[in-house]
Amino acid sequence: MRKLLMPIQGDFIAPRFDLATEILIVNFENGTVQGDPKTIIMERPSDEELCQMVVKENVTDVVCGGIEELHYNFLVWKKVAVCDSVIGGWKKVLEKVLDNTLSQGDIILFGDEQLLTL
Amino acid sequence: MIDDNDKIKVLIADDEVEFASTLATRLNLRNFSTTVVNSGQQTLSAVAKEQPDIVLLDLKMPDLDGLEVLAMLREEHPELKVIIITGHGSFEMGREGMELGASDYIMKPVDLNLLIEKISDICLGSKKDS
Repeated sequence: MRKLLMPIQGDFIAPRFDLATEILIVNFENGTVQGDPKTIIMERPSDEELCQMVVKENVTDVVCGGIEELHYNFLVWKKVAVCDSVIGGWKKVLEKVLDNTLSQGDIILFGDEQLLTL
Repeated sequence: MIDDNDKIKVLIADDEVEFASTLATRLNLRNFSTTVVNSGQQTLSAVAKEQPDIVLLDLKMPDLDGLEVLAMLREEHPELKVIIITGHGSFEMGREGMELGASDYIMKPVDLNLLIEKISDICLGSKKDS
């Protein structure tokens, strides 16, 4: 079982890791989501707190937009797979994570996505 | 489609503007009706004006302390349901809020599913009772 954390902003991956206040955590295995995704709303943006959350929640994968090198290195040191510089709607991004086709720097064009309900 | 009158009316009282607006957006997407205020005084006025089903009350606001607001709400609107929202390390204040008559408390960062569960339990439970 892997655990994915995505900082989001509305329907999209948050453009900056350090300014995100909405966090989506999804458990997945063999290309399918396991259980209910968890949405967390932070009191204020904080990259330090976000890194702590990654560690505390035993997250294995992070998908984000821009992230500072310091925090990127910290997460990688903690054996977290970080896919950064991703731009796009989080639903499409999640689909690509499940398909194992998401790469660092991917720009996923906004298609005919439904309004988010999570 | 849920009629607006059937939605649970939630008043979010928190001076962290971004937190409050993000929470309101997420709750609106889950079929709650929300109003946001950012101070203690605004909370007291909004309760009288909006008549919410439940108030999500931050304990640290610039003008009136959340516990003061809670005491005033208890006096003027004894039936009103309140969930205390506390920041890091203010677990004790959450408990103090419960002693003052809050229905429940939740710590920041807020797990949205847990919050919705608490709101639904409190509001739907009280509707069943009445």
